[in-house]
Amino acid sequence: MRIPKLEVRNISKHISDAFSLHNVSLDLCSGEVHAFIGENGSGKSTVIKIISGVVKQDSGEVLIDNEPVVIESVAEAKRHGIYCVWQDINLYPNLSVAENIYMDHPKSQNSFLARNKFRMFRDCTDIFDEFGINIDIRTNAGELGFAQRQLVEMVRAYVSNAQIVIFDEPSAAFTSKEKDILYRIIRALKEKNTAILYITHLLDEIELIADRVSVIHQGRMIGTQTVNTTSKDDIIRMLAVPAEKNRYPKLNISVGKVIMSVKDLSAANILNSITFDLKKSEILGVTGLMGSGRSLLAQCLFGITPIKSGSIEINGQKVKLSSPEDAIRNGIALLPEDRASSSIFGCLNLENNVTLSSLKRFEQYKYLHNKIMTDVTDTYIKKLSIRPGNLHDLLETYSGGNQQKAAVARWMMSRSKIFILDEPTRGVDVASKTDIYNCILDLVSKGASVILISSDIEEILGMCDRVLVLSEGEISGEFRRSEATKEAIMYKATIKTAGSLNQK
Amino acid sequence: MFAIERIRIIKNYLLENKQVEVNQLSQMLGVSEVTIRRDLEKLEGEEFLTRTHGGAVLGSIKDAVSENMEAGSFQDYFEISKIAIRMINDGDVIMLTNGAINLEIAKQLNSKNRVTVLTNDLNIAFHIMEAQSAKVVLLGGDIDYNTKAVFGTLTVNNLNNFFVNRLFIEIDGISNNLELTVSNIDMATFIKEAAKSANEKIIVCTSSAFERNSFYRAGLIKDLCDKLITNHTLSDQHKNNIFNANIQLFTSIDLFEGRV
Repeated sequence: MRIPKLEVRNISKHISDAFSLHNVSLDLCSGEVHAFIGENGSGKSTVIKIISGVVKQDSGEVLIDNEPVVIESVAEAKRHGIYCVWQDINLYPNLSVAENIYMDHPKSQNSFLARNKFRMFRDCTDIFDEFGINIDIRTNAGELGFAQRQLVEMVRAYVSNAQIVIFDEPSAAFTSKEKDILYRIIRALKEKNTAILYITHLLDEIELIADRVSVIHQGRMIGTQTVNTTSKDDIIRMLAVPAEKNRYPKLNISVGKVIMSVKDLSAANILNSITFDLKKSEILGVTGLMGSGRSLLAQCLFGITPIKSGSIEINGQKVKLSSPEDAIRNGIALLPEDRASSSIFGCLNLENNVTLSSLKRFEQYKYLHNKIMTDVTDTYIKKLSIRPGNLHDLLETYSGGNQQKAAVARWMMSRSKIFILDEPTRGVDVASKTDIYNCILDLVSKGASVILISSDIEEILGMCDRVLVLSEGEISGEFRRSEATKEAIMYKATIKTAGSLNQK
Repeated sequence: MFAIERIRIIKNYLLENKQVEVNQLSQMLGVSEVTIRRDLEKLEGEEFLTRTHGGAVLGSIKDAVSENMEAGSFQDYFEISKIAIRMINDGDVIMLTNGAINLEIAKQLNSKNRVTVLTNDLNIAFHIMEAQSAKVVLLGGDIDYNTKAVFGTLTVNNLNNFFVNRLFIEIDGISNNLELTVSNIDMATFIKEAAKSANEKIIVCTSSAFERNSFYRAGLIKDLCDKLITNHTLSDQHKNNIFNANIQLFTSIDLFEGRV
């Protein structure tokens, strides 16, 4: 048997009470693409962070060429020939693409300035031509789009001559053309006998490029299979470890008449003919992989992203939502995915954050009735257990869970009718999670409707009355609560991409 | 401030807090206590509230007070029972063990149809009989004067005749390792037996139950409980433990005031 280039042996790492890695083992051979899959929060990122020296394991060892190594830092990982392409790329924004690519290249490290700039540009152009990348190498990296920056980062990995390259969900933001480039780079890396660890959500990609596949679930390895002897259904079965549906609080609240209906909605060249109804007191789940358009849908319904065609009706009346103001006036609330940048005002105090969308109800002779406002806010804070909960605390000093609850309180106070919650429990502690679930129950039991967007399939299964599955901007599946299973949802979320890949 | 605004504010406040004091309202709204009393009188006429000494509580007088209720916990009981009642479907056969929260559940059964209630609590049986809100089956056995409920071998034998969809267990204490405790050995036995013949087991208790342990062990939470309903003041540590024990945790948030 071949000696693996990189081996991870019985690694454990305690992250929090809710999550830790348990005895994870994984090996990676030279010239192999090893796909690594698992749900969000299953521990994929933690494993690669350990390999690339970002965090240190509690126990277990990492071996390179069968020699145990201690990787204390990212720089050390680089010295061991490990290169990691992260999801969030940090390029030097005011350097050109070519300079970025050769920035910490081994050849240029000692004599970067001495290196002939023209040669560097020429080399870079050659590589870009070879892979068919259509980016001007002289532009500053800061001007590139997200997907382009990612391509640059991949070329950087290619020229680095690293022997081990790790890709962290590289294709999530890619169009099919960019995916082709990515696969070309991976094949070229493979020819150079590089060992590749490839994190992905897309099963079709695995069949296309991977040699082996490993599945991780809740911090434990489920198993490793050779790709050409495993069918896609087998992989889905490995992924669909029995869902723990039990712990999500759910009340049987009878749903009412249709309150919102979306017809044939298309937007931003991603969403395509989305049609669905939302009923009164219903919790409608929307799930899909990254890049499936689930957050974009939320933005369309809240008037942030203009819709290209199609219509939105509320209570049977066609409405035009061209701004968030329009949406709020129509009783729609959005709890956005990215709490820090689009929902919370860290520099404002807790009271201001909570009352922000409801100031109108405290209006009195053009002034605010402060006593009532403070009193009502205090009730919200107590009921939602926002801690420490002093009205004058700046929100930036609060934990993620408490910030999120403040954002939930803000919209509950606004007495909206339709609540769009985009990943409401991501990065939130368990106690706050249960509070948010109970808020959702409170909303629907009093007649509001909730669209719960989440990548956590267990949460979707546990909370929702109905589930829509998005894949590449289209609704690829719809399930009632009674018929939804993790397997079926995963199948619908990943399978449609097969069609579009095979067409080529 | 116009009277209509005042009344709206008082209504909202009562909906949120269930009870209010006259001087509190007077301070909050900046009007005299006499004015507030008049407003409350008007709302009492609408059966929206019941005036009490120095204040008012939400709802009509029949429901307001119960004998064996601790002071100040009416709101907790009321909110917990409101969630519990949502778990009951028309046509269900449920069992309510003895206790104040379960009594509160019994009081709200009139919103359901064709429900059959099995109970060992005389108060619960009596209340349902008065309200004629459900069919009630009272278990037999030795009457315990403190709890006004029946226990003992007779009760347990009696219990074995029935199977229920949903069992609501009211308990006195939960220890840190999630063991349920009650203050009476017969009750512990009764709960263990009752759990054997129920489809879904729901525990009801106030969050203060998590702060105390009673003497008699009824069993571990994982054996006796699918769902747990308590009020919103439960500590984060306990929320964490319960969620991680794969139990559905319901807390009475009761906050949203939308007019949808």
